Amino acid sequence: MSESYKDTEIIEGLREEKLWAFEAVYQSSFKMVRNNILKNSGTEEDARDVFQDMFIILIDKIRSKTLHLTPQSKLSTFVFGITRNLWLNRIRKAGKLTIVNQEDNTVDYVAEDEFELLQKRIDEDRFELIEKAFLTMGEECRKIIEMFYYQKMKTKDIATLLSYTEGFIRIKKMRCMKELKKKIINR
Amino acid sequence: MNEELEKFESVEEKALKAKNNILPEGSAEEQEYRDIIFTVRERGKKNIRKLAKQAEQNYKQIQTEKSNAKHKIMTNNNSPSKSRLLPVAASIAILACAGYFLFMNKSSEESGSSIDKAYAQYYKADDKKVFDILDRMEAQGFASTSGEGEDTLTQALKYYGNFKFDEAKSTLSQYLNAYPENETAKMYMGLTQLQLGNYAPAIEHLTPLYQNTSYENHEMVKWYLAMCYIRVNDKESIQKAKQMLRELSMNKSSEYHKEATGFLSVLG
Repeated sequence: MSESYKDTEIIEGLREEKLWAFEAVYQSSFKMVRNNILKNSGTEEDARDVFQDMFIILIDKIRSKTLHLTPQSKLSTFVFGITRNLWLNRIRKAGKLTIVNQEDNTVDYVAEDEFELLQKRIDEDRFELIEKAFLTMGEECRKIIEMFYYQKMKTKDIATLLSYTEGFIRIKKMRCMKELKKKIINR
Repeated sequence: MNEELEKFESVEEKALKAKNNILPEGSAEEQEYRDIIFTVRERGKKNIRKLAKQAEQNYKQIQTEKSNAKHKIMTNNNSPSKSRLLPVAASIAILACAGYFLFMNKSSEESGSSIDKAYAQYYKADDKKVFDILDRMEAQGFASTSGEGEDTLTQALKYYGNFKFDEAKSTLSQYLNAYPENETAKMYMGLTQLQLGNYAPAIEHLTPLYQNTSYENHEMVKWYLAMCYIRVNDKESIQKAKQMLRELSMNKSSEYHKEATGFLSVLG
């Protein structure tokens, strides 16, 4: 994908949210994606937005292990595919365009609809309240919660990484979540 | 404990399922967990967007540098005086030394590219301290979360923290005109100039703060000043950068210890 990094290196870098991995994806794919969006009635701003959103989906796919590279499908192919779907989805919404049979696009559409539904449900104040309570927690609790719910790591892997037993992590996670709930209620 | 854990995990599982598959809302407890999971994930997404924005800025900067370099080469090649000054003998000498120069260029390019790679890996715009400073300013009544009536420095720091570097630069410049001695403004002007690829002004803003060893963000200034010298990338600048990185690397309690050690291993 990039002149200096292999696709597998970039994938690992993205999983760990390393800036150089994001830059490598920009270097190799942004121009192509931008040109495609401009050709399809988009603007520079649209291209930038879509490319940024693409990272959220790509990293989610990497973490949930649903990104399978083969010699025929390189990382840039996925990047292009995701941005294309995101852009078509935006056009569809803006112009009430119906896209039928998009095969594997379904996941991305659901992800965006899901986001909107939840966004509506949780009003901004509540989001802020939870976030503030979360930030007052101890570092270990924050780490465990983020690793499990955001990075989608398995309890076993978190335990290995933090040098604890799996059982300890399960209990710790429960306690952290209960503590967070308490903090939210008390705010 | 086991019973409590099982109950929690059952609620957690339902919350996760509800979050992932948009199932109808369950009990109040499930909703609570669902909201927490949502918030944690949103926080993560915000971070990804921030990184993507910064990568985009860096990408643009590299593109501009490349296009400037290309322009420079083209201008040099078109210079008629240069072509007149190239005697045949010199061409022969150049040809004779071609192997040697090719070898030298190759190794210098390789080392240049490893430094670039290390820079891409270790350098990132500050996205933590700036918000700590803003929080402190807010607590002291200087900054306002609503954005109303906030001062120019607060506004500039918010621009920087949100990777709007062009806006940060012009706002900081306004502020420094009025308060030229403000250290926070000077530091972020240096960091902004570095981010925008203006290394000489970045060094100019950061050097006095580096010389002031009692400055509270001295370690941070040292790290970013080293990054400026890395980007200048001549022999003398690399030596200066190395010296600063060594100091950071030797200080195990420094927040830049790990990055500095990693960077030094590339510089050799």
